[in-house]
Amino acid sequence: MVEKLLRSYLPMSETAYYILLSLTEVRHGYGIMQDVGELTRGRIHLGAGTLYGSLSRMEKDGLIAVVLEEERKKSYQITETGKLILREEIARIGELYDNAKKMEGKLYE
Amino acid sequence: MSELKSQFKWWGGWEPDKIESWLEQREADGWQLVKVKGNGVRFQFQKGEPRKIRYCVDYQNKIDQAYISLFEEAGWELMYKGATNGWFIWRMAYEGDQRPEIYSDIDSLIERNKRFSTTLTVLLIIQFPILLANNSMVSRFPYVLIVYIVLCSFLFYGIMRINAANRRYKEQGGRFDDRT
Repeated sequence: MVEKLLRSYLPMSETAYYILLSLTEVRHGYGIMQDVGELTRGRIHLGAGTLYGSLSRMEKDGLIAVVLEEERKKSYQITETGKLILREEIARIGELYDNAKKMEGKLYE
Repeated sequence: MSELKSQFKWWGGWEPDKIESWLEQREADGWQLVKVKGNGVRFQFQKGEPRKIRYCVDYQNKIDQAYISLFEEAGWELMYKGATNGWFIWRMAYEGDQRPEIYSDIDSLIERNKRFSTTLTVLLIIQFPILLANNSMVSRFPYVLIVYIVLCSFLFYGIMRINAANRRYKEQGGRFDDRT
């Protein structure tokens, strides 16, 4: 099951990556948009449709869960499965970064 | 009393950007959208100041109650919600030169198109058992068959157009990302 999710989510889109990162704390939809905007200093402005689609898919796949529902608003949080997948992605990005730092110097030779 | 005008504009579900730009142009010409009726093809305008407004068309097979509130909180105003079809028309004023988007990456835009093409495919497939079940009627009234052929060709045409649009989106994927 997890194998299948890893295959479908990794490598992650920036959209999925930042949504999961943002949901390490409980947030509702609009809260995620604001948080991702701040984290990327305005570079990523999540569209409402894009966010709604990603949240539905991740909830269905068990990466995130609804923890609170009030006034037609849903609040989400990352699940253990979601954390596992995000850790894998962070390890992948770490490898990208380490290799970049190792080789970067050659680009200036 | 300001001038009102009702306009009929047919659009295919495979080219929602056409109706998006048409509405945006009407607003720029000072025709402000008041209401959308008649399954999303009858538009009521009111003469006023020209405005810079972005219109976005969405398609959803099923939504939960969080859908509308998420869009509204993000600043979108719902102008049309199809009662029997899955179409939504949203609008938002420009912030400076920034054109608001409901889909900020190409993948989710392609997903929207795929949802509609799935609906058309299901409609197309169920025509065949219906046709078989009505076999005796078709042999008595051959023109019924013509109606079926026209309907199926129309559905097939729609599916082809959506697939072509999605291929175009995939090709220009990089450029789209630059806009976000």
